[in-house]
Amino acid sequence: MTKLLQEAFNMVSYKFSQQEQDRLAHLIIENISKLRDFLEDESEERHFENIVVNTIKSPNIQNILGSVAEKYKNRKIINATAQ
Amino acid sequence: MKKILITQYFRKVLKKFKNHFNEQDIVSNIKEFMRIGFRKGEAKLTTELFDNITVEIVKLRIHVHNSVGRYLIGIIDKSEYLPIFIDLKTGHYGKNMSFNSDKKITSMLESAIENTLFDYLEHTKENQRLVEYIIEEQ
Repeated sequence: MTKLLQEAFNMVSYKFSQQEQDRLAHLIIENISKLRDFLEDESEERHFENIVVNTIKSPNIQNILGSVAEKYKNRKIINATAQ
Repeated sequence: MKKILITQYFRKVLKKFKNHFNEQDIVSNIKEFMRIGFRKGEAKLTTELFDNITVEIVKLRIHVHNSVGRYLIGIIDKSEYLPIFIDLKTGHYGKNMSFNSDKKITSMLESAIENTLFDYLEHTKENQRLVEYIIEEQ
């Protein structure tokens, strides 16, 4: 068992009641075959999210977002003045 | 007053998914998000600040009949909701995307974000590049 998994199980053992720990154990045992798919799916989602954030933080996209915010702000001022 | 803005570019992208989702599905899904907030698998990915104006990038899920997708929207100043990118989770596109290299995904995302934001920036009364759906506050 990896150190991190051990840490996770330790956390479960002191944060959850014995009944809840048993429920979790049953859940893992009954769904062990689905667990790998779930982990792969989760990992793909996190990976996709990281790529999105890195793309948004790139200088090119930041420049365009800055212009979008400026256009929004100017329009808001014009609308407020017109009312 | 809140608005959902569908750009010409996003409409073009949606045509590729016409067997799965249409514009009304996206509008209804965003309205539901406005009403109930995040559901399972949905998250705010980042908040960018430009001179007191926030632009949040949010990942949402859409489920219509047997089709499941994930899509990104930009939320400008908590009032304008702008769909940017959509990816079919169960179709060929989604499956292929998981195996695509990071570089290819980045380039697809960059192009989608640029095209959507250019439509937003170039939209005027005379040169309409987006459709507005006004959402009344409940």
